[in-house]
This record gives sequence, C-alpha cells and structure tokens, in this order.
Amino acid sequence: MILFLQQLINGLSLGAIYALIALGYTMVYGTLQLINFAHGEVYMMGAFAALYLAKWLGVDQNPSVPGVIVVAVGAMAFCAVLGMTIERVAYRPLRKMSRLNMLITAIGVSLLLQNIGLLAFGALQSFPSLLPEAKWELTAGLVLRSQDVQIFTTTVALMLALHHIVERTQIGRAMRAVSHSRDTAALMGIPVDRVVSFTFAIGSVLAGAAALLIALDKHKIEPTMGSAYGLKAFVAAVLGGIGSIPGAVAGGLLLGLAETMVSGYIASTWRDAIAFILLIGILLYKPSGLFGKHTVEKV
Amino acid sequence: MSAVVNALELRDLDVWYGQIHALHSVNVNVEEGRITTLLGANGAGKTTLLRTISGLVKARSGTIRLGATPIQGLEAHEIVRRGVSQSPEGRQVFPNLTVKENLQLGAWIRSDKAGIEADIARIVGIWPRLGERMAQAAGTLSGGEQQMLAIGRAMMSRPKVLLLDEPSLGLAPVVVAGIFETIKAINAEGTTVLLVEQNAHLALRIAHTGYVLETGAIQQSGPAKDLLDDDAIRAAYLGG
Repeated sequence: MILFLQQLINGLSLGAIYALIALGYTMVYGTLQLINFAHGEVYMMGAFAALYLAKWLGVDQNPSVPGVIVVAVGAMAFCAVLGMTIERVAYRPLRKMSRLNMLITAIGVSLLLQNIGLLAFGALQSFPSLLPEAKWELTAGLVLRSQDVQIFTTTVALMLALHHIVERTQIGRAMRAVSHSRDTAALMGIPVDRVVSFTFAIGSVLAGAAALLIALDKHKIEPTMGSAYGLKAFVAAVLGGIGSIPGAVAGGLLLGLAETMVSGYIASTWRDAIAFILLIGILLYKPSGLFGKHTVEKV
Repeated sequence: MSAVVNALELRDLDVWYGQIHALHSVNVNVEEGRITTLLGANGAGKTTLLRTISGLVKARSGTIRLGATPIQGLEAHEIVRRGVSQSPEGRQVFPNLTVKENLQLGAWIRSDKAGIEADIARIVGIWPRLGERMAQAAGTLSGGEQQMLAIGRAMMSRPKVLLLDEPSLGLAPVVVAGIFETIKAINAEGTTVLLVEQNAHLALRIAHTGYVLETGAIQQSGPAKDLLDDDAIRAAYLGG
C-alpha cells in the first residue's frame, strides 16, 4: 500500500510535467493540425533560459521566492517569444502548402534547436537549488517532497488559468473558432494569424514552466532533454486525444502514473516501454484517443 | 433612380483557382439600402464571388469598392472591420461553441459590451428559439436554427453590407419563408444585402435587383421584377 501511494505521488508529479508539455502539442495541433516537433526544444530552451537568467541575476547565489518568480516569468516569456518566432519564421510561410511540408519543417526546427543547444550549452549542466527543499515523511516509508508540492500547485494554477482563458475570454473563444475553421473565424473579423501566434505563445509558456519545475526537481538539464520529455508528452497528447485540452491533461497524468507504477511493481527498465505500449494500444483500439472525437478522414 | 448609391461595386473582377478561371470580368453593383441577389446554378461561381468580396480569395485583377474605398487585397478580418460581413455557405456555425459564444464572436470587432448585449437581445427578439438555446452548443441546433444563428452572427458586427450565401440551402420551405421574411426586415432597417441563391423565385421576390451568373460570368441583370418575368430566366431557374 505504501509503495502504491508513493508511486501515486511520483506518478502525479511526473504526469503533471507531461501534461504541461502535452498541452502545447495539443493546442497547436488543434489550430494548425500540425505536430510541432520543435515543442520539446522550446521546453529545453526554457530550462537553459532559466539557468542563465538565474545566474545573471544572482538568484543562484542568493535564492529567494521573488527571485524565483522573476526567473520563472523570464523563462516563460523567453519560451513564448521563441514559440511565436518559430511559428512566424518556419510554419506560417508554409501554411497554404501540404501539411507534410510543415511537419518535415517542424522536425528540422527541432534538430536545429537541439544542435544549437549542444553547441551553446555543451552537455549536461547542473541546475542550482533556487528554493528551500524539504521532505516530509507522511507515514513510514511514504515521502512527499517540496518539489512535488511545487509541481502540483504550479500545474493546477496554470491549468485553471488556461481553462479560464480558453473558456471565458474572447481570445479563448477565438482560439476555439480558429481550431474549427480558419476561414469562418476570419469572417468574424478575427485576425487568425494573431490567434495562431497566441496559441503558440500559450503552449510555449506552459513548456517553459514545466522546464523550470523539472530543473528545480532534478537539478540537471541538458540540450537533449527536449527529445526525451517532448516525445513522452507527445505520446500523452495522443493518448488523451490530440487536439483536446482535457485529453492532454488526462493523457499526461495517465502516462506519468503508468510509468511510475511499472517501475514500482515490475521493473524500472520497463518504464519507457510502457509509454509506447500504451501508445500502440490506443492507436489500435481507440485511435482518436481517450477524449478525442471520432472523425472519419475524408478522401 | 439617380439617388441610388452603390454600397459595393465590383468592377472587372477576375478570379483564378490555379488553372481554373473561376470569375470572368464580373461587374456587380450592390445598391445601398437594397437587396441585390445573385442567381446561378451550382458551380457558377456564386460562392467564389462572395469569398472574393470577403477577402478569403484574392482576385487576380479588378476592383471591389466599399463606398468610395477599394477593399480588394485587404485581409479578410480587415474587411469585416470595414463593414462587410458574411453568413457563409453551409452556415458554418462553430459547433462546439454555444449559441451565445457564436454571437459574441460575431461581435469580435466591437468593444461596446452594452451594445453587444442589446444586439444579442435584438436577435433573440427576432428568433426566440435562439434565446431558448443560448447556452446550448451550436452543433446541436436544427438546420433552420443554425441558419438563423449564422445570419444573426453576421449581423453582430453591425455591417453596412451583409453577404448571405444560400440561406435556403437544405431547409424546409416553411423555414425558408421565415428566414426570407427576416432578411427583408433586416434590409428594411437599413442594412444593404447581397443575397446569393439557387432558389431564384424566392430571391427575386424580395430583391430589388438581380444578377445571373453562369460559369463565372454575368449573363443577365436588371430589376428583380423584370427578371421574374423574363422567359429565359423562367426556363432556366424558375422551372418554366
């Protein structure tokens, strides 16, 4: 029972990170029907932006809560600008062409950013503790870490904010309209390009937040972290039903729990395999994902 | 007749889809304060013409004037801002958004909250059934209700010129009759209307002026009542 509860905490923590990144994949897919393979690299760049910003501001020497907030906001803003730039420079010129062109470009942007990361940042770097860390033993053998609490509270707050934007604001209604039909949205007077840009910004902000949370948890970041977490988050988005916001959250949590339960009860070597076993399973039995709408591809 | 002003003027409009010449130097005057109808069979280019006016398709040559201002080449959302809105073919309501959210999006270019609420109330006054379904997803509405919503949504930007693409499509005659009455009422309150229709009889009965489009070119035009009496039109579009 203790093992189960412990893996539940670990799984929700990991799953929250997957969910934050998966939201970026799913929202961009919703508006452009594009799998933005560069999204994982935006996440990676967010971690390094946070590192260099913390060093530059001296927050790594004198950690403080306001300091961390400045670093967080800075890293998230950096990701927003990066995400919007990628859309503007790499995807928008291709929007009228076949979707395959954009997909291949996305892979190209992903490789480009990863290699820029390797050139600029080298390999693994350690990430300083910016916040006091604590562990609480809830009962014998069941540990809750302050990092888990950070991840839960930040993720819940960001998801409530996202829900508010998408469901209650005019820009959120516009995002939903654009994801149904760009032409019809334009007939409402909605500046579609700006809405697409905003969608990239929101997704990238969430990735930036995920990057900082992971960096504060694991204390190491590397230029290839985007492909590992990015791929898992993409699987999470597909599990939940790509294009669906609740689906991305559910898929992320499900994947996180599946991974930690498998490492707890079977073997940690099976941890990565379970993600892809789940992916294959869902593609075989419910290709539209848990929350996805069943759509027939029109020929 | 000399007092009639053109709200919208299309001059020598040529539109190509790749290798296909979709519109051949089309000239249309949409007179201010009136209903102008554009008739034609499926594939004649009616929808292309409306999409070109709205900026979703770019003309290769020719001009589109709104009042005195050329608007061809402007982006679609900018054309709405200038005062031309469209209820597109097939209604195209946003199915996952509620009726109210659809109407709110129609008012995207406006920021006067009280005015927007008043206009939503006005549309509910015209179509009480939309009022009953305000919080319902638009995709759950019947075809007739979706058409009402699509027109209401296009009215929410308070356009000078309202473009309507086949509002009768796929609807029962009694529903169509109601919608055409409303189009007349909207026009009587001062909105200029360009109505694209296959249902020539109905359209000519509420319009002042008619144009007939055939394979991308205007074949005939004139006062609606003359077209109603025209033998060739009767044979081609009014069932003899």
